[in-house]
Amino acid sequence: MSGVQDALKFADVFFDNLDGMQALTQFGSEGASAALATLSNVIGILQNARDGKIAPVDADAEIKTLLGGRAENRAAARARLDKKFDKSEG
Amino acid sequence: MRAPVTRLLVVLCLVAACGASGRQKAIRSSVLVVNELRDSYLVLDKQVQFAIVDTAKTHEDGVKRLDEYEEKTKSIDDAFAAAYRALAIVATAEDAPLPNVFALINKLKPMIDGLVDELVKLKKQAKEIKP
Repeated sequence: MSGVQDALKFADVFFDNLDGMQALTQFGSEGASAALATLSNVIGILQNARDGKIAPVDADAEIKTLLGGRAENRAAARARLDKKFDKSEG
Repeated sequence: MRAPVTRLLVVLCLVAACGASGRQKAIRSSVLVVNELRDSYLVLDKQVQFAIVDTAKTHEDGVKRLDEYEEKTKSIDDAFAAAYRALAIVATAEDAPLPNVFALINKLKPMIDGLVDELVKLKKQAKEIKP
């Protein structure tokens, strides 16, 4: 989350003085651009959360649920196979 | 919280002063659809793997066929991952196009239908083995 931290530092300078030029000088055009992009994403996330219309989609968590379920099924099938042919460990 | 951050949040709340849109409803519905498809996929996945075991002639045959099935279904896992990642993007980036996401989601259903066909075939085989 260092991107967000940097963006908030940028916002501190920008909103403290309401001086875009000072923020630009301090962070450079690349840093300012990255900070604004991050802030824009944060705005999107807050908009969604505030409206309560869509919770931000946690893709990683959903994919983890899928892969976890698949791994469980695989393990169960292998155990069933071992049992069928009496190949249990030990 | 420091004053500048408070001001930032005030600005964000002002920016956020807009209501629900058809886009948001479409995204929310899409997430529910993909979750339903994922749950169906996991139930089917277990049934197909068990059916493979039930029709296996030897332990080696079962291992080989389970490995083949695993390899074959990786594309389904990838398709789900792509759909979820695309949904995460359109949920946060207001200008990201929705039709691309719908196209990804539409690919999931035929893949799951393919698994249903596979299960029917395996169940038929299992009946033939144990009349």
